[in-house]
Amino acid sequence: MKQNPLFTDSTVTQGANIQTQFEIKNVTLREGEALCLKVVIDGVMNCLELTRKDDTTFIGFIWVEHRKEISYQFFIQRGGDVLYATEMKKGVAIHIIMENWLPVAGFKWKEGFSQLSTDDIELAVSSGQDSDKESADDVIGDLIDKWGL
Amino acid sequence: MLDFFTELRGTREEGIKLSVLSIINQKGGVAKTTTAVNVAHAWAKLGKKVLLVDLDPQASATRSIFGDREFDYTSFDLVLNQKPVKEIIQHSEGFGVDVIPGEILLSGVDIQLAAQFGREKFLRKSLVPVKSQYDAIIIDCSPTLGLLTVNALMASQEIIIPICPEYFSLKGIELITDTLNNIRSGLGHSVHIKGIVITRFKNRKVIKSVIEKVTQTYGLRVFSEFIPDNIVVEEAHHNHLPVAKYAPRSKAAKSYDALAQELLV
Repeated sequence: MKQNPLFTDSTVTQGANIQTQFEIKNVTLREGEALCLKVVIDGVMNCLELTRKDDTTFIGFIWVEHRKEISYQFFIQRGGDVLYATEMKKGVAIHIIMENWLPVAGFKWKEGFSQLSTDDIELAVSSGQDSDKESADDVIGDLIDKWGL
Repeated sequence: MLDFFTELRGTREEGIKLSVLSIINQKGGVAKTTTAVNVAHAWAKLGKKVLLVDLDPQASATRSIFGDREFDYTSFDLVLNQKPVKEIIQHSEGFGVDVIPGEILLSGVDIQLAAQFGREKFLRKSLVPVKSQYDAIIIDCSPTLGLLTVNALMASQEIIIPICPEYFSLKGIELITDTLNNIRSGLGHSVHIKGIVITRFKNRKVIKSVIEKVTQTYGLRVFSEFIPDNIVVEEAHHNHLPVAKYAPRSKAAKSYDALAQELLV
């Protein structure tokens, strides 16, 4: 993972625990929806609901070792169902990780928010099956309806 | 981090909020120094107590104010040797401001700072003993991105970006916004872009296009006062005077005074 050493906090040693702030911008939620974050550290998944910072920005905090390699993904859920999700990204834990909301089209999910695992949110872009295609079309339709994509 | 800035903001006069302000653009020749020294002088004329920090190895602000005068201690000693700031500050009668001079040795600071603990916060730490004595601190940055510029940004609440419309590119603005995002992410410090200052302008048509690009692409404020490309600005530099003293009736002098007022809002 490439990172400019110029912007590395020299007062925090690698491996020291820091509170990393996750911040996602340009999100609009509908009634009943919650914006959540999934962070995978050493294969262990952590999920948390983000809090609103302003009209379209949400934040959440996770304690993690400084400059630890992590994977993370933002998603919107309602009643335990994941409706939309961003791509799973890799990064290193620093003070603040900022992203713009950019949901991926055509992912499928399993019901039950509390039972989410690292495999629960997966891309279905390469299946090529009709049922998947229909499902992807539905989701894309929803995305166009919601985000004007 | 908050304490460093809260003591400075609006300490002198109610309703006026000044801050630690860096003047930055990785591109050279966009009148960073000219803007720094003339805005500093304009604020001094308004009764503000201003400290100007020359963090550019070319030391253009220092030369513009003091000519070829040599100084025992400069911003080099402040950042690298933690020399007490009060022993470095010089006063300029002509500009009415206090100055921390720069020098060419600053060009080697990055190498010496690289392995030091707290390397990105030395300037901020060094300014602590005097910050409450000033209404505003202006930092004239180097036209490069390195530890010196990071130190300037870590000590700043706000930046202004001078741009020369004839040589303007959106890529330059993007580099600066990326840098601020990196400072926020990696070092946990937020710096606000106060706005864009258009300098050395010649052609209003070009300016219109630049303003459209900047506001539409980045939503940044462009200050309404443009600084013209005027020979008196260069002459003032060579005479070690602010434009407002060298050619008080010139358009450039009036523009800098108006810009300084605009920056107070």
